[in-house]
Amino acid sequence: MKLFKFVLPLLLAAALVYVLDRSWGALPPLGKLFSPSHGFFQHIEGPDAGRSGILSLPGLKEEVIVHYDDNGVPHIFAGNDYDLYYAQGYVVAKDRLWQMDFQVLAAAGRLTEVVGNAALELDRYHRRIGMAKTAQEVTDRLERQDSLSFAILQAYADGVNDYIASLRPRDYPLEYKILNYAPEDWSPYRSILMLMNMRHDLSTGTDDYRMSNLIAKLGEAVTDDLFPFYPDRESPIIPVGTAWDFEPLGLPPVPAIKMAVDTAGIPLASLVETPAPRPEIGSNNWAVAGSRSASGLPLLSNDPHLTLSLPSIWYQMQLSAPGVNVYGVALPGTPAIIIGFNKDIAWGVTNVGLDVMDFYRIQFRDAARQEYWYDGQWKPVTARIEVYHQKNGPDIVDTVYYTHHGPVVYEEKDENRYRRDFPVGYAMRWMGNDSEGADLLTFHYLNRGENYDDYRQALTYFTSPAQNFVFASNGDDIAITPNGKFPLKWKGQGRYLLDGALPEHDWQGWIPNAHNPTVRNPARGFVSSANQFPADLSYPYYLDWSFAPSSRAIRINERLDAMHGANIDSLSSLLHDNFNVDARLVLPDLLATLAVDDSIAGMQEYQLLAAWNLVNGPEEVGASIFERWIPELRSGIWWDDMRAEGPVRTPSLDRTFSLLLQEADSPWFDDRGTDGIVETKFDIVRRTFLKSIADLREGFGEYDGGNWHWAKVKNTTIAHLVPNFTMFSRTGIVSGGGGGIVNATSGRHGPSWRMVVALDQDWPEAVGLFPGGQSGNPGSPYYDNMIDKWANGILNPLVFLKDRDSGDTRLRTTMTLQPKTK
Amino acid sequence: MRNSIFLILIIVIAGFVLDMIGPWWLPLIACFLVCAWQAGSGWSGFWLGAFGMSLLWVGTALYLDARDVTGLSAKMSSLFTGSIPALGVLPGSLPAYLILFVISFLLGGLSGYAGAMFRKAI
Repeated sequence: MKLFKFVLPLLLAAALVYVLDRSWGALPPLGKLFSPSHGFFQHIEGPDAGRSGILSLPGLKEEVIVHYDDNGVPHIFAGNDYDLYYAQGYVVAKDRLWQMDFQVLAAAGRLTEVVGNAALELDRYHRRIGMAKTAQEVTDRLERQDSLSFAILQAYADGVNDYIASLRPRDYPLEYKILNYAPEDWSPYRSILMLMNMRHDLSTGTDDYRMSNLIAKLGEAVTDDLFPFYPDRESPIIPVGTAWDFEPLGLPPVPAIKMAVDTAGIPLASLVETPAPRPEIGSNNWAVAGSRSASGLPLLSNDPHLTLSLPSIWYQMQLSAPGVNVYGVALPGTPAIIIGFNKDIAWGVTNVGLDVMDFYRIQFRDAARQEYWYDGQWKPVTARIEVYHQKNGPDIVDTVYYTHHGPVVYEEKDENRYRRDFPVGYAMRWMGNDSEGADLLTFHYLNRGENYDDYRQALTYFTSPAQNFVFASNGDDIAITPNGKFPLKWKGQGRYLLDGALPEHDWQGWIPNAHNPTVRNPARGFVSSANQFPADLSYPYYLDWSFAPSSRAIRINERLDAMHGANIDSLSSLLHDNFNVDARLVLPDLLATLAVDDSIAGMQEYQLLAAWNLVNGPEEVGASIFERWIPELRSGIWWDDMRAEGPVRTPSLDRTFSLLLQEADSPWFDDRGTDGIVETKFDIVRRTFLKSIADLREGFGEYDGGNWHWAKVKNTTIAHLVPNFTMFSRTGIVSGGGGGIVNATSGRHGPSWRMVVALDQDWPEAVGLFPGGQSGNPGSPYYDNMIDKWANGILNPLVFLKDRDSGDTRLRTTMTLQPKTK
Repeated sequence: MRNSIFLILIIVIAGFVLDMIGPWWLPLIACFLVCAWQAGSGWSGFWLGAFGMSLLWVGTALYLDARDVTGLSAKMSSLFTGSIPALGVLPGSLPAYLILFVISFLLGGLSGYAGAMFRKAI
């Protein structure tokens, strides 16, 4: 009995420890998490925490000095390239280990292992499009054939792993503790997976399925009228009139059958209105020649727009070793600086967004799916088994069937499929699955570049995701090159779903790298890109029929065209430009259309819109009304005509504006949903205006001054990578801008890094910042310290040190990494 | 009384040391051993362990929280107030401290009780 009285409470205590030591469904392991010496209290940090001292590291060859400045930015000085990339891996992991690890799990389709079943469809999607398979193939090929790339990746991985090895469980980043798992070792494969994430985010937009549904309904002539191959308003990246300095390969002939003829669209259970979203993942970059600058030397600017997240997408750092001294932003998990500058050159990137994802209808021989029909014979299918380890539950086994085009992403109709814009029963050919090239070397060499020739040489290594590489040097060169490995296609190839049995539907080879559009020192004295058409129709190859709306490009180019004596402030002002080019184009006509109705012209909201200065400033009400109204108007005009048995898209904004301005009597304005009534342009304009006002009233209350401010309506939010962790997100950020605005800050997307560099013969000057902070730790003052400045249009001067001993008043601490003596 | 304070302090100090070297539940050993050594009864063991352990946890948490500039404990509280709305009536960091207190009090108490009963059993 005495023994029982002792054993019972002991067992009870042990059971409680057991219960509190593990996670139960979504509930974190409370004991571990709340123990102050092991859980989240360990993550409360001062500004200099862990950023000083002397560390002995087994992997290092020589001593490395890391100075941290007052923004938490590391300035790394190493004695050789191995140590440089090793230290980069170590230092980045110190601030961002969880993020790197998590994004790798996402790319590899393994999230369900740590967050549970909610991620299963996302995982299936990532696996089935081949992300992990391609990353492995790329890694294996680099290991065999490309010793430089692999050595860089391995050095970086060694650094990350030595950092991981130094951690006790209580040192693991906070998210590990909440989700209750541990970091895995880093490897070159994992860095390649990080690059696969970028390929995915920037090159998996597809309209093929929507367009096939449309042409089946509307016919080719109407489709070509509504979805033209070049917009009415455009300001292409390569200035119109630029001569092509190469002898083009012949364009492959357009075959008689241009698409999978029976579109075989799978009817959806319910028709949900899904106009193609306004492309918001875009970017701006530009360079101004010395002839237009105050200093007589070029300036360069870049702001990549992405879905904003915390921890931040980018990580600022300076990397210095013999032969290289570069500053800029890196992607956590990936070696080298992606966007930045050194003593002589600066460069930046925006997404090209050409069509590099096509779908091929596959006819399997039978249900066993071992063969498919191609070019008059049965070809073998390769099956790949994918296994998903669930956090709570048994493994799930899945088979993916590969044709020579690529994987059949979805074989059977499944309403839960992650990508409803992907057709069922089609194989996917995607540039992201190309395992050639060495994208990393482009950045390795740009980091070390000194002049235009170095820039051109560095670009030849790059495959995907294709980027518009802007360049400037203190040799007074500026240039821009839409660059990557471009498939050679017949005009319109991949505009619709393709037929996997026809050889003429295969990609026809590659556009030679030297034939990628490029321009050096154009007469106008500036180069720029904003994801618009790389070139006008004089370019002898077919890249795509649709690119991002031209509004940002038009605004950027007209401001640069008017710019003289440019300096950092003038380029910074352009980065934060909130002028609404679309409103300038279309609003006068829309207001005049509405004005014939006295009941509307008398409305307070109408007058607010009429008095609006066409600027998407944070406190503008006109911007709120206009930005709500235009999508409403677009679907009001088109949706009744486009509705089909499957996903479709509506014509572009550009085409919509042309209809409004030049085809006022068009039958497209008639709403087919109303019997016996023929609506006119006025009816649709009026109806959609009133609808958007009603929506604003419903969402924000009757207009009373402040409640309809654009910043409130837009509600810019930067969310943590785990959607449930809203406490680590920032919402209600007060900023202007919008999707089609140069300051492309919308609800969830925006400039993920802003940079302006003024080149100089002696030493460049640069400013920049990103919406977040250097640290991935929510308990660090550097977690989100740059967001307010970012929202207010302020850029930080960047500390770019000449050498390890040059010093700067803004340096705070120094961390010395020493080789561990054996 | 004085003896109790002395024993609680021993639990806190020994627990603190154990906390530095081992897993999060290691300080419970201190609760157990101190009570096995000195506790008069099961319930006195419970109170000694409960107060010792919760003092260790709350004290360490307050010490670490003193340098906070990001409101981390309040943010962590909101992770739980979302699913347990009753906790939402407490402002800021209090839900986190309440959870932390309850866990340490219960675990410490049980360990101390077990320790005291161990003394009786032998």
